[in-house]
Amino acid sequence: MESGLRAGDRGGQRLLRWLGIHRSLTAFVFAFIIMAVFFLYIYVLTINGEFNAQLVSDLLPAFFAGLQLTLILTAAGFTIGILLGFLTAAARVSRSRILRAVAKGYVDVFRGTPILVQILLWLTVILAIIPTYQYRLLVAGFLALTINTGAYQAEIFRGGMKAIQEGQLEAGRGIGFTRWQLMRRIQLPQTLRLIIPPMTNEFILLLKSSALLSIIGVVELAFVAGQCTVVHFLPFECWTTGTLLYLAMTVPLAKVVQFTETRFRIPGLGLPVARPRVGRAAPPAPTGRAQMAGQALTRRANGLYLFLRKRMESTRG
Amino acid sequence: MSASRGAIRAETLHKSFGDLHVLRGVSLTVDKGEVLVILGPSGGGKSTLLRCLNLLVYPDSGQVWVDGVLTTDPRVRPEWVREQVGMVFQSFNLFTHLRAIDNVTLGLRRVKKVPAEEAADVGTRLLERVGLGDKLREFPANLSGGQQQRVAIARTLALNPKVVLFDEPTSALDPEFISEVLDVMTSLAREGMTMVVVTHEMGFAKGVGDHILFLADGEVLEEGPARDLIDHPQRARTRAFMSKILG
Repeated sequence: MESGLRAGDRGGQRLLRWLGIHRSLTAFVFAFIIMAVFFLYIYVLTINGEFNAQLVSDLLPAFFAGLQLTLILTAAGFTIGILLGFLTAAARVSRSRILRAVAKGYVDVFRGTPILVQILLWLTVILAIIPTYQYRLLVAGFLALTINTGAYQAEIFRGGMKAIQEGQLEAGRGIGFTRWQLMRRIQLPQTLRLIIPPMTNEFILLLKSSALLSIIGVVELAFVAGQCTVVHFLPFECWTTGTLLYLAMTVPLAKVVQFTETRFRIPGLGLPVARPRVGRAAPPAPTGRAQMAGQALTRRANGLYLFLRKRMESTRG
Repeated sequence: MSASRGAIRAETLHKSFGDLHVLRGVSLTVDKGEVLVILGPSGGGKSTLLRCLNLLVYPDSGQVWVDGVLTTDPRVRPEWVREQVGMVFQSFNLFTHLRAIDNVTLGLRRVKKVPAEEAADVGTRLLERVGLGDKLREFPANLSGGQQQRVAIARTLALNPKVVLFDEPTSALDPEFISEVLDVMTSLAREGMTMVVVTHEMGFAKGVGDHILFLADGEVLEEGPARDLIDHPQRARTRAFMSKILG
């Protein structure tokens, strides 16, 4: 269970625990941030004049159409990405050196380049192959998203499979399982549970990346918001609507997944949702309040650092 | 060299991992219903020897017979061999995502294709036999080490193996749980199961073991009836090991 990868998670947990302990302070800070953002918004609104609600309600059908396309592209790309990711992860641990090399090359290329560049490259390729096809932009965009998420998901699968103890696989072979049975009965059921959180993360990242398809003219949500700006000269209304619609997709999704994760949790597999404060090293002998406070501060800073680094690593470059 | 004698029999096994020559021509025979205990310093090849017996590791050369069948023949499916020769591991290796009963019945259902209900009956009976009739629905993480190891023994027995291999089954246990596992193993031996046991539990070796094989540096240094070998080891190396382990 203990791997280097978990260090960031521990930092995050430590941060959350710290926030929990200093509840009143946390509440105060959050309240302050929210108020600051709210006032900033109001300020911009006053510069902008009044919020043109009529425009927004008139354009809502167009926005919804964009949202629909965003969702379809993301969901379809993600689903095919699961298959692609699983096969790639399987290829990476296969016995064939060629398969391993191909899989690694695929992951390296598509994780190592900006998705914006990938989108433009796919567009170029598609325009060369089917220049007159009605849905050429959509095809290029869809390909870009799918192939990109496949590479990321391959790494998620690989990590999830590696997290299964070698001993369990040996025990599986010990009761006469074939390679396929090991995968199907022992690895996958555990891996799939372990990767729910990183897969959710990937879905949300993909959904947000789909906004980049607007630059090649795919009429998804960000494109609609952009058009709204250009046509009606009301960027504030247009982008506010777009923002809220993106939030309307991502926030409930995170909730649903959190529920799923709890629902399918198994004792001893993966990280507990909330861990009681046990098993932690005893605090050093009190040698003075100032010193203890200093140590506590170091611990918190350390936790926060790991937490932030983990987050940064998981966002795409 | 008659292949028919013995429930399990190995002849001049060699195995190397890279430059490391782990087994250097090990032979052994275990008769039906007999308990062979393998002793020796760590790194001496004990675990590798066990894994060669059920082909979790393929020997580089040498033969293994199980119940008269030459299992190292490339035409024999290794999965079939592992069905015949069960194994209990030092770190239990229970399937984390399955309840105790499902850990036991998984092999029955998926390897032997026994219908679920019938498998559940067998599983329940086996778990009751190892004293865990009240823990059928528990996940491994909620069981103590001793309980986990007993589930692992039941899981192995479910496939009705001809031989069971034990790889230091009590080494990972807290002292308070060792006896419950040894008790299960003892009763299993009394019921006539053929067993090959790697252990440092001298009480068990002496009381339950029929034969002892002392393995060091990949070679059999000494072998013989359990009592003789523990009380009167002949070689200096064996003597040194015994006095160290018996304190």
